[in-house]
Amino acid sequence: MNQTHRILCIGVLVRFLLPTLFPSIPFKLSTVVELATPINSYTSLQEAFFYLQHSINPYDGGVNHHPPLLVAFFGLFKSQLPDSVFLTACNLLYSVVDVIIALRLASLNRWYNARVSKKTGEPVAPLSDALMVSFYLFNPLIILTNLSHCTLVFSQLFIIESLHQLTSNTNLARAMVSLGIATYLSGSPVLMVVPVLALAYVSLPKHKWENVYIQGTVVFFMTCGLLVFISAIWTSSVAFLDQCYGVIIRFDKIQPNVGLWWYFFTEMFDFFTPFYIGVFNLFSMIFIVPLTIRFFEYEDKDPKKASVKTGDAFLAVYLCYVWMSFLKSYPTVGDFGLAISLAPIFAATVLPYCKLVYITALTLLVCLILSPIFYYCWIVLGNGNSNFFYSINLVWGGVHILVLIDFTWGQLIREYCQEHDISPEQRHVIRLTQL
Amino acid sequence: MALAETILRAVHKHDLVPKLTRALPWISLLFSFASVIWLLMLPIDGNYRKSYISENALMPGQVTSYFRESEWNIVRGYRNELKIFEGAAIDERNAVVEGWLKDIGLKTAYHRLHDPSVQDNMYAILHAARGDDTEAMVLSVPWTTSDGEYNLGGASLAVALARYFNRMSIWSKNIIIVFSEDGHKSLRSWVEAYHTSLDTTAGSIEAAIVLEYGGDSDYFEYYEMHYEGLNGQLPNLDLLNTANLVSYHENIHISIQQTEGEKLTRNDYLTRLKTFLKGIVSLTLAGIVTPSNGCESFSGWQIQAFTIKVKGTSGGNDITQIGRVVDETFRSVNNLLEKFHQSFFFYLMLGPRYFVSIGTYLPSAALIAASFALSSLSCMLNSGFTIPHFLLNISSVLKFFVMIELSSFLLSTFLPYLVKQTTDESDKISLVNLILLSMTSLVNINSKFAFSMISFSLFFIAMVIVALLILNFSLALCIGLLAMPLQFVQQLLNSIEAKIKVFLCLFVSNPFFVVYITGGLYLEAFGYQNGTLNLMTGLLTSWDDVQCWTWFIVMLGWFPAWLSIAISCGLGDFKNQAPVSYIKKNQ
Repeated sequence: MNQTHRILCIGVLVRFLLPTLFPSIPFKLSTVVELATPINSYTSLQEAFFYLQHSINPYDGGVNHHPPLLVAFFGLFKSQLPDSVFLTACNLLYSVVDVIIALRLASLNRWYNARVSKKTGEPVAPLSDALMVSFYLFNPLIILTNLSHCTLVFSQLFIIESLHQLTSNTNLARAMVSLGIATYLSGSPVLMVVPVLALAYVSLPKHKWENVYIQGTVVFFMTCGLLVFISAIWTSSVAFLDQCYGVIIRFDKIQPNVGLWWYFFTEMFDFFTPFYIGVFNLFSMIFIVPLTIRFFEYEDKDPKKASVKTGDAFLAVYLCYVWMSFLKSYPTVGDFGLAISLAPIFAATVLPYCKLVYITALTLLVCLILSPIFYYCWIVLGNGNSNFFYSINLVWGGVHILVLIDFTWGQLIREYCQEHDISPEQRHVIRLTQL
Repeated sequence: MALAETILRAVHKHDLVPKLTRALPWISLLFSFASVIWLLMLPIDGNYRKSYISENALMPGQVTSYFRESEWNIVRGYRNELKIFEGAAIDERNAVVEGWLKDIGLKTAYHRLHDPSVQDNMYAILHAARGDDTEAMVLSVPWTTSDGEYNLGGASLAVALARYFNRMSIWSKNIIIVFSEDGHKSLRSWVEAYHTSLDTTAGSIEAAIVLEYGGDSDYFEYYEMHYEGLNGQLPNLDLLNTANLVSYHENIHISIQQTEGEKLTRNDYLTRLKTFLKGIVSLTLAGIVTPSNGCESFSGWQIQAFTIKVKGTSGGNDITQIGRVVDETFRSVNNLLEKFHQSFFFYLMLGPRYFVSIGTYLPSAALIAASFALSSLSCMLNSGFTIPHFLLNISSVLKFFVMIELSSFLLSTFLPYLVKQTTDESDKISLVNLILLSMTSLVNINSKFAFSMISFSLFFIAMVIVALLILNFSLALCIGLLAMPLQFVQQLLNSIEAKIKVFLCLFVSNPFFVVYITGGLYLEAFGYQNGTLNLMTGLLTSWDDVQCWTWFIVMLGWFPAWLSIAISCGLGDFKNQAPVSYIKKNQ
């Protein structure tokens, strides 16, 4: 039993034992605004079970926004197993999901660093598996999200699985199926299609661009279509589409969360709502393509040409994920939690060029401390108001922006150094300025 | 971006980073001083504001109150009757008053406490003629005032007011009159029961006035207004301003923070400063020091409450004027269509008509937090270790700190339990205090500790202050200022002759030492008996009695940080690892 296994065991124990010994933990945590939103909380999943048991359409009444197959999957166990066994099984399921994600992150880390070493010709030492796994499993945001039994975890599992299939397994079809499932589960991962296809283009061994893009897109939409089709048959209506995805686009369920959307729909006049829906939806996808193109890895016939070394498709995927977490309509801290746990993959490449790491970490910490306090002032004490909580949401958004700026700038410097063959000693002395 | 770049380049050109790093201890000290100076600047003209009514619907002083001389006779009548019951049990008094209130036409009910240490509470509800029974105002009369007097004037005034209110048809909010044993535990338990278990209720309470009029005098000089809530909460300033304005029209002087005599009318820098500083301290100690003023019992349920405590037995004001103040304040609150909602919850009073708003006073606590953060950074950078070294240490630092935090937690839950179990409280508490003090000095004897621990502890205090900044400004400020000597420890550690100074710093910033001093000097200066004992008992029992969490913040925020710094100083072997920057200086 090596170190990684020991860490995995402790990670599982925390996730499994705590909610098993104290069954109220998931229910209490799933009502915390920072950890779960109406569209992915465990409590609303429980509501769906209640509807199912009483033979009511779970998409009536606007309480449940989980996709039908997820409800069906859980509902099956719920109806077959006694309550206590079901809860324990749930705890086990969530623990296993996190372990799989942790292992996938470790393999992504190995792949990425091996690939960078090969591409640039300079060996980069990745962080050990044990460290990668513990960065994920002991990330407090991830632990809390997992303990709250937020269904976001499944969506994250399939996003990571998709990247894993693309990189370690070099299997485009499976990757796109995974991404399709992730999209089906929470809607917003549809934005990841663009950077993931760009990653597919460079990670698959023998390929033509037509094959990658057309095949990938087709498989992705086939998967989504199939899942929607099965769901429609199971619920014998298409009402779920509106309840699961329409809500995300139109922000119907107005409830505070850590994101940037809710304030505009709560505090503004109704006639502005269509405008804000348009702006926010547009904004949430606007940087996906530019980021992907900027860090795209172009092929060049002449391998000696410097531009071969530039670009980083995996970084583009990462930055797009951060962007998605930044402008989702119903984000939780778990979204950014995964971004934090992904960051150590770049420990030997981009991170050494990042200058704002400490500032970002401090801002993040203060944000996490003040967010529940301001919410308490607003909702419980009544001496604060929504502006208090939203101000912290803005800072939370600022943390995303800091990460985006820092990683982008770091990568630009790294590219400059590679293009101009600057020696490693010089790299940290040289100071670049954007003009 | 270009500007930032220019500045960064200038910083690099002049090699400012190492210089600044070396100056960090001084910069952090500067921040602490700046914080204190900021505080002292606030009562200067131009930094504070004159109070105003923010909610238009209140319209204070716009009505004529008919609670005049004709009602005086009725007040006298009730007072003469109640005077007979001065020595009687509270149940008897309640029964008499209940009879009167029933005769007037109010619905009465009891809040039965199955606790032998607290008497039952009696309350009566006047259902509003024009209301929808969803909102209420409370007039609370503790039988014993915070000075320990029989609240004769208050009780008779309350009954007379009930009779007077009942004849008016203008009420749109219910009026509840509560008779409790005192303003502390029994009133608090009534407020809690009202929101959880009582059957006879009258909707959500918007505002509450606690009336303390001890003795049987018809006349008084002025009244003290108390408004501090639990856990740093304050009532909406609009309510206080309303009462202030009404009293101003009645020509009654108001004392904020127990100013007396000629200072009531004086408005100069020193009186403002004194009121201001005293306000910060009493907000920190609210709920802990007994006897309390009653208004804090209403905290936490979105109720705006203040206490009217009548002072003096001779003077130009008569008892019906207090009735008019209550009446007109209730009439104003009655006008409200929504809750008190203006951002008028964060203020510090400088006088009855002057206040400092949050934007103006918050920087002082923020500066203290920044000073701790800088001090932590300085400890990290100037100790001669590199940042990676700290990062490698971080897991052991965290482990150690979690252990300290856990033991503090156990201590913080165990001590109040110990107090509850004992019959003779005073002995045990002084024993506990002694044990803690000796334990904390015992720690200073052997073993080793590092700068990372000190750095982490200072950072922890900074985060505690940040967390409390909005929630409980005064506590944040007090912890920041009182724990400040901990910042000097890191600089003193390298020389042997400074051991005494280190010990002194640690001793002065120990929470229990502070409790001892505050209780002994501050409280006793303001006429409390046995200040230290009072304060310590209050800290230990306030969570159970009134849900005040100051004890836990002290024990889980301040004490563990102090303890880890103390242990680091006691155990660290600093002779072999004298910080690089100091070595350089010596060469």
